[in-house]
Amino acid sequence: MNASRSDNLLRQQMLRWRDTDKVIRLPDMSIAPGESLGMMGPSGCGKSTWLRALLGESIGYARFTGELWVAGKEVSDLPIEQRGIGILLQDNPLFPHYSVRKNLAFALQRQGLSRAQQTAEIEQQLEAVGMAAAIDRLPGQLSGGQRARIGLLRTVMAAPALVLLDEPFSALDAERRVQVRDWTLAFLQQRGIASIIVSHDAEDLAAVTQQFKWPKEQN
Amino acid sequence: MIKRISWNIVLVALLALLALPWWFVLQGLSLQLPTPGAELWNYPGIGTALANSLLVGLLSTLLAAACASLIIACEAVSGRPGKNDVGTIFTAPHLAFAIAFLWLFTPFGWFDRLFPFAAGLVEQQSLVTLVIILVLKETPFLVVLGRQQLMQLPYQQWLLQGQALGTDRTRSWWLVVFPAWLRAMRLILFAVAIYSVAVVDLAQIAGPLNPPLLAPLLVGWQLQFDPLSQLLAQQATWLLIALGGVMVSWVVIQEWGLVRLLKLRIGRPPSRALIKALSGFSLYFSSATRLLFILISALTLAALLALSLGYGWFYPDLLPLEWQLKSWLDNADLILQLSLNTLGLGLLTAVIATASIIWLREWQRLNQRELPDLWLLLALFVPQLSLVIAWLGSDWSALLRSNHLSVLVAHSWFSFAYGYLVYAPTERNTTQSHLLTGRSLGYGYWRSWWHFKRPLMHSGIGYCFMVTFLVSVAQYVPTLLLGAGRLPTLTTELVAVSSGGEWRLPAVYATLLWFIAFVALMLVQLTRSKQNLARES
Amino acid sequence: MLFIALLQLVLVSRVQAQQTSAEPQTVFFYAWGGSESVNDYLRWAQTQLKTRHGIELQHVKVADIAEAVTILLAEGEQQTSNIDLLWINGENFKVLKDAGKLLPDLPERVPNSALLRDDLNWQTDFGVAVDGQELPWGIAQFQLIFRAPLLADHSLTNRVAVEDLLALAKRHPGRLSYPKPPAFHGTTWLKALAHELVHAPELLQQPPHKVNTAQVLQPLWDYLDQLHPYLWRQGREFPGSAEQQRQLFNHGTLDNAVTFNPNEIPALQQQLRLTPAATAVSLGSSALTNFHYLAIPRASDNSAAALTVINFMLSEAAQQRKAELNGWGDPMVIRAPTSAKPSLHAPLFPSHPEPHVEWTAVLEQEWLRRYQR
Repeated sequence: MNASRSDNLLRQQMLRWRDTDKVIRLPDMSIAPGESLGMMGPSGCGKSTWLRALLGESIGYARFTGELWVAGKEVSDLPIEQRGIGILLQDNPLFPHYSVRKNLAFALQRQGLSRAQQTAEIEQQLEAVGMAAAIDRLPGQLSGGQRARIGLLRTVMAAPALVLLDEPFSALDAERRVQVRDWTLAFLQQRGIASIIVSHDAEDLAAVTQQFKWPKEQN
Repeated sequence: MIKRISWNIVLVALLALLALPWWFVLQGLSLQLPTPGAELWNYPGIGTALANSLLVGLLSTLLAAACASLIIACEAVSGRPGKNDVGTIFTAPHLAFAIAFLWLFTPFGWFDRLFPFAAGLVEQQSLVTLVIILVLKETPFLVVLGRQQLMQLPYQQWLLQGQALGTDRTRSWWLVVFPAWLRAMRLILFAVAIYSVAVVDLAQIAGPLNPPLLAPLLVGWQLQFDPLSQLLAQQATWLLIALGGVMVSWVVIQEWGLVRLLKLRIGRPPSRALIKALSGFSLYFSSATRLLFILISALTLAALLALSLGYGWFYPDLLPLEWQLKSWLDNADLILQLSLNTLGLGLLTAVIATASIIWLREWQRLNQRELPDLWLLLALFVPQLSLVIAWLGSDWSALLRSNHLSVLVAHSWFSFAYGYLVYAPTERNTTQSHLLTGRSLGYGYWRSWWHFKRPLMHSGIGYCFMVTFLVSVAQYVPTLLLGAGRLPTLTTELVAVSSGGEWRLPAVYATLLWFIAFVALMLVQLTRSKQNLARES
Repeated sequence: MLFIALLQLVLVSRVQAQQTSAEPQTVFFYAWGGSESVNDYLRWAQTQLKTRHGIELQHVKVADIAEAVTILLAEGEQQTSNIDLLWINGENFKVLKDAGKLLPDLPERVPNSALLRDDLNWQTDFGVAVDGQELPWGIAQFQLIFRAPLLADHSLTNRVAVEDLLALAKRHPGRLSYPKPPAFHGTTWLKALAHELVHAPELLQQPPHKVNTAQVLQPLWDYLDQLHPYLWRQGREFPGSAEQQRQLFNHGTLDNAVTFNPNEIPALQQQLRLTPAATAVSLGSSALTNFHYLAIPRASDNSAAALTVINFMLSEAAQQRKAELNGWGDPMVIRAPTSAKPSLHAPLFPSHPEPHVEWTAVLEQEWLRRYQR
């Protein structure tokens, strides 16, 4: 596998359940900027655990080993906030007690922008997703589809090299789902951000660049 | 239709239980306001009394809130929630805790005898002493209830989100979780703030006495019956109510200012130095204070037990002349009877208050209507003795002929406010969707509540039950005056025997009260850990 | 849930049991509960009354008897009183008497009142005529308690003059204090001190509006101005009550305390409840003396039993027991039988009476004006 400097690599990944001692070996993966990788598997198989492990969260009931390169840099031993990985969880993606503006501002703190620049940036980004009017609303005042868009926007505005999406569309109704999915993938691709999407639904992964199936457990 | 009617019947009954005492208060409370020319302002030292009360209120509320915030922050960030560490102080009866604390740490006290050259002891009867005792007592209250409020927030997820956006856990805590936690704590902080200006017994033994603080001054006037004292008492009642209002505003301002300050930081580049200092400080501070709390509570408890057993223990002796179980054994019959009264009344009160609170929250959910919290917490504002004296002078006793019933109604009424401020924020942070799902499956409202919502609310209900129980256990004024001595409890006995010049017998009752409250807390924490297990599986 | 229902049942049945079986003969006696010796004595009285008269004496312990006054004042005219018997004196008695709340003619209704000593002026209570609405139960004499070595250093024995007190304070700065007026004992201290200091003490027996109070009391304030800088915390802070001062005394913070019952010193010491170093002395040549009383609310529907209780309290057996030094140590108000132990015949200190009742307010208000800031 030839990796360029900007590639994201996952190598020798292994997930071991502490109670049963079962092991899951995941294939090596390489995701170029703007590419998306889909991981399909039934509910409860451990996909979410894997994502959380990639993010860097320590998990009580399982142990993850493997090499993780993000944008050409090994991040396996870094704390979450220094890995350059963003995540979009299936529920509660926004802080409910902060307005859309504040939610998005969270993502900008490392860029050292002035307050005015920040406001301009937020307004511009909202404009781009057609939600300029929502800037001072609370998440509770938005529709599900709008929340999903703001959630992704916030994740992306933190400028990660890799975004993890955990069943990102499951809270949406069927019609909205296809719409948001296509929008999400296009949005990530357009910004050159690599992504890993896990889902139990083949529909969600119909348009990804690479597809994987969740491997079987081994002893 | 029938269901509609039964909801309404309960609503009317409950509102009557909550509102009728107010009707009686209005009957008996005189409208002597402390207007600028009022006699109250001519009382010598009233300015100092008022300023000192305010200072005690502001300082102790601010410090206790700050200590509790740092402890909670450290626990949440490190992902290690504390367990039974500060519970011992939380459950200590106020008066007993203060007595033992003063006995240990004042000049000529036990530590002074042990280390004659030790510096930094606290003076008897001073503003600083009172603030220290209040902070020591209120911080654990805030920590215990704060942990419970935190559990209702998806704070782990928020911390993770924050981290995934490039913010470390400490910063994520302060910018994201803390404002939400502080909001959930608002009602509880109201109670603490009002208590710190309305407290009488602690102020009488640990606070300044020349002049006293406003609350003990008021009680002094209320128990003198010449026309001038009665007039001063009526005017001071309103002044103290106003002071309660000031304290509530202070809590709101404190929260608003802090959250505003934090919001300013959102989107700003993190200051490494500040984060490092803050996380380091909160780590050291929190471990140090926790250790201090554990140490102080262990020492005061030991001191109290020792005081109840020690005979002939005078300055400058480090140990008493004799150890005897006599005080316990001689009073065994009485102790048993008082304990039964206390437990019976406390449990009954807790059942009534908790059921009312749960019901009223559900009514608000069902009707999509939020009753303003302040209406329900109004009972906290009026000084208790003023309320009870007003009741005595009203038709209260004509309506409630039995002393026992009278006491039970008063206990339930006072407990309601405290229980509500614990339960309501928890309930608000809990989703109603499971209950709706249950109803869509064909369950009736309360069956659905029982099967689908109650399990989510275990800790909220448990804490509400415990707090209402403890409030009932701690009542002196209503139990004695409305019960007319027919229902003596451990607390009425403790307060009566504490009015003397010795600590031995008070120590016996105080130790028992401490024990009861501690068991109550342990039982509630048991339900909490059960719920955690359920959540993880 | 079942447990709670059961508990409810138990509580209700207990309440009913109390109300039915004991109704006619239970006497609810409101009395200050802060003294272990008094509480023990009342417990003894309880068993005696039960076996001798079939009366259940229920001691309702209060932190301040004013709480009982609050209850009584709030009770309506037609209402049966919750209180059957009270331990009371002074201000609280005056309030209840003025409100017409007390049962009159007690001397006629209580046979043992014939035993009361003739040499005691118990007919006025803090300047208020008793008028048969209360009967004396015990005698109070105001005295000072000191740590004995302190007095020995100055070769003082059983009497401390006001000059001695000032000298003591100067020699031991920060070690002495007094209860803060208007606490009961604090005001009493002012009265006792005034008696020693004013140029014509007999003026204090007149109503204050008939004399020039400022002039009469000037020596008292001059003295306190001199004394205060040498008191505990430079006289800027005081113990809140006699009991609080007793705690500070036992604790070691202070070297003096006050008492209304000099006999209680040996009693308390015997029971290991007061430091052996304590000794009582009188302030000046005589002690301010007053009485504490028993009274019955007019609206009690149990006054017959309450009268029996008072009669018992004034019996030789009860009074002797009360005076015993290993118990309460409160002096007898009835003539001691010849068979009684010599200690029970112990003479009282020479006494001087309370000032006219209206001086109380004058002293308290002026003290607060001068020293409370």
